[in-house]
Amino acid sequence: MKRIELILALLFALICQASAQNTGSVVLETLDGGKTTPAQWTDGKTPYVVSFWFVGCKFCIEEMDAVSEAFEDWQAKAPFRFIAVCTDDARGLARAKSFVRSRGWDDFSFAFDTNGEYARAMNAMSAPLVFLFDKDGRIVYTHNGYSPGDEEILFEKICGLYKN
Amino acid sequence: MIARSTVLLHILMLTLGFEALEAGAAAQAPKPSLTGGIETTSVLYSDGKFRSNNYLKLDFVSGAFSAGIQAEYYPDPLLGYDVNLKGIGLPGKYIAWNSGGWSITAGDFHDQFGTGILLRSWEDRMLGWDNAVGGGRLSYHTPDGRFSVKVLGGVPRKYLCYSATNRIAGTEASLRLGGLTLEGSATVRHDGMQTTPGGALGASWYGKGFSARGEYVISRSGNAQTLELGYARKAFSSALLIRRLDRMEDPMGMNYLPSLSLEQTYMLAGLNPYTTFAQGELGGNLNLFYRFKKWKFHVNGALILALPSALEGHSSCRLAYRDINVEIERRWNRALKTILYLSIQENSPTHGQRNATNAQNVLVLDGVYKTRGPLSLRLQAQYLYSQELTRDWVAGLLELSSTKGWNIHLRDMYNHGDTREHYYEAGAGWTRGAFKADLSYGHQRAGLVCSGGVCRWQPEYTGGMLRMTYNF
Repeated sequence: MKRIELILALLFALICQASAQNTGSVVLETLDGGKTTPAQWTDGKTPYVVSFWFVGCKFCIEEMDAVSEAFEDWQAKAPFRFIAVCTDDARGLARAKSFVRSRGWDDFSFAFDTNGEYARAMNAMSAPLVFLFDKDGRIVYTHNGYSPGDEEILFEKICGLYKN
Repeated sequence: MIARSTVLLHILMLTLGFEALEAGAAAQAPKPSLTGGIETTSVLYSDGKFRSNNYLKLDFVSGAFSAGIQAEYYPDPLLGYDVNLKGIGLPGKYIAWNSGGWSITAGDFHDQFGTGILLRSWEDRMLGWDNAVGGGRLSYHTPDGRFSVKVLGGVPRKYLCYSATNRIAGTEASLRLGGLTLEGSATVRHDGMQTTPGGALGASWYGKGFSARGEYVISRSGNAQTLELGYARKAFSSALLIRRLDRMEDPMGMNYLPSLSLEQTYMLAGLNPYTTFAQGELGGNLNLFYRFKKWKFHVNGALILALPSALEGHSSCRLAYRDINVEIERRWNRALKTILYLSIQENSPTHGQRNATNAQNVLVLDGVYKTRGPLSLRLQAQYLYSQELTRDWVAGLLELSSTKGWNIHLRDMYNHGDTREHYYEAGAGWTRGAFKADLSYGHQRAGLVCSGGVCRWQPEYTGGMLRMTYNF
């Protein structure tokens, strides 16, 4: 029995250490047609949230609306960046960009993963899916799905990063 | 018991402590890591048959080196998925090296040239679609991403293995100069009988509030053109997409030709979706978005015509599909948000070959109410009015979810115009961190299931479904 627990604990330890994702070859498009890579998002200063979404995902949009509304207040308490990674394909790209511009999400950064390469590397097989990265680019919190109020739990986790 | 737990705790604290010590160093040189995802969907059908789709993906990264696998297991694939998937296999395996903008991959990979019309290799598990290419890929991009180039070649995936006859190779380059990006790509396909070249040239331009993107593609015996225009100013934005396809069918399945019409998200609005007519169509899709105080408006319309060259006995373009969709969203206060959605659609099942079309009008009322506690409630009422096919439908959805991680839902679609049949579902879900489980039971309608503009046929069934996903 003890041996099983030991193996489980070691396995857990291995999973805990799993922070670097296989995103080396991933290049994403930005809102203005430029390129960005996930490695560029780690700045050593502030934590950041990566949120996978697509235009047809009602829960994703609800979550981003909720974060957007509280964003300014939260920045004063615990600064973080919010990177919305859109998984709409080439067909939906123009609509997604247009949608973003009208939505008033001025505080977010946007990346467009039109062939799902980044989503694959992150094993993001459903949306909404949120990853919280610390300032050094390590994943410290993951949340699958969205229920109104989940954004407050996410913010608590961000605040937690400033307490250590 | 206490002693055991303490041992466990010690190991965990040691690990975490160890991590904290090395946190500084981790930023420069990440430790080797293993990440992955597990997804399993199983259905027990009313006839007693058990079917299941299972995926395991593992990726190992150590500095510039990475390697991974994707294993799939179908004791019997779910209804609607290709029966040839049955069995266990390792359709995904690769080793890669990424450093200083250079990337070299040997094994199975996905990639896309331009908008994907010429070549798109991608995976969508909802569709049971994966046309990964097994072979090699070499790519380079400058650190600022202004210039990139890649070459690739290999054998497309078929079921759990590789195609016996098909081969594909291609190259793509892109260059960004200020707001202007130029892209060019070329492919060579071999289907066992003949070799066909293809090529695409694209340009996009992003100015202040205005964007344009165009692509011209030549493939096998046909050609395609797309033009996207975007304009945004303050709370208003718009996007227009025009696409012409002429003899663009690709038996190899590497051309990505999604439907131009809006992908409907409400049950009844998505009952009879349009599917692309690759033989010959010309279509446009316009989106208008506007935000005013607590109101948000979205108008979308599509008009798709079949080209006479793709039809028999017609000398002019014929209507294949048209729709107009209006969505009005209003946040009333912190607790309540409502959406009013109207969709008017007309679909020609023969892509314009015959005169008969199916018209339907769908109205949806959707509301989300959040309580002061962890709970929120979603209610939907939908109505479809039609004089064709199975005529009128009515549908409802009730969903209760909690920030504690669980949710339950009940839905029913009822055809009261013709068949008088109920399509119901009751389900519950639970999520914790990266783990998600959904359990449901219901009677599902036969029809097209679409994802990203691509559809597959789903036969009617009654059964219980369990779906679990976990990432680590």
